[in-house]
Amino acid sequence: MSYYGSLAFNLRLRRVPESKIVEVLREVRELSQESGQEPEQQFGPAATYAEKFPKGKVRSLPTRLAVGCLAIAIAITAVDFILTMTRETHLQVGSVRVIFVLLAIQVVVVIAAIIADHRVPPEFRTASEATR
Amino acid sequence: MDETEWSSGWLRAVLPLVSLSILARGEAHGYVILRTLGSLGFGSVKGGTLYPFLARQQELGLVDHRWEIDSPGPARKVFWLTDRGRREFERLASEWRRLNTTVASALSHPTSEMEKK
Repeated sequence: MSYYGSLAFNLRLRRVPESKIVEVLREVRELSQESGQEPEQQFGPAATYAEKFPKGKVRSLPTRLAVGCLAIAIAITAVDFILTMTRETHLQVGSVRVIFVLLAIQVVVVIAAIIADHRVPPEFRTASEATR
Repeated sequence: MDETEWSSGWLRAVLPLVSLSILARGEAHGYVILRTLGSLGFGSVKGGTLYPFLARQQELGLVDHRWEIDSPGPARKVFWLTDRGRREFERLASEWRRLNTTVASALSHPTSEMEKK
């Protein structure tokens, strides 16, 4: 994983806004290119450098989607469980299957969110866009 | 300790004043500020120290910036002092001069008060 991807991920964990993440990545790229040093030499480990920025309030979009999916999965599971119990029957095979499917979907969503949070913002990718 | 290496505490204390003094001479981008700090004898200050500091100064309205295209090189973030920043620099510089005199005096006569007692 590139230093920029790792820094973007750690900044998103701190809920730093995307516009600020682009700004920070541009600063790292500028100084690394000017000094001829690797980003880690100038800024230290990505996780440590990210801690120097104050925490924001809004989670990244992938994280919000993952949390939303988790909430929906929990709600469906709870409703399914309650319906099964009110029928005074043991947990049915169909219900277990639903829970496993939801769990599998949730794992996929969380992995996808982690991968998405490691991406560098599109505005950062090309040098020509860096000043817009 | 190397002559150009200072305790991090000292560096943290003087970095605001010295960085503002560099910007008081004219606008500059990050690498120029770091190189100037090095040539002034502050050793190898890293970008990981300078940029968060400059970001805080911007939040306080003391420093402003713009992105400058300088093809084929990378885009550069150029910083300068705002009017408020210039006033703050003058205040800090004046305070530093008084503190410097006080500390120098204390170091040259560290026991004078104790001797009186």
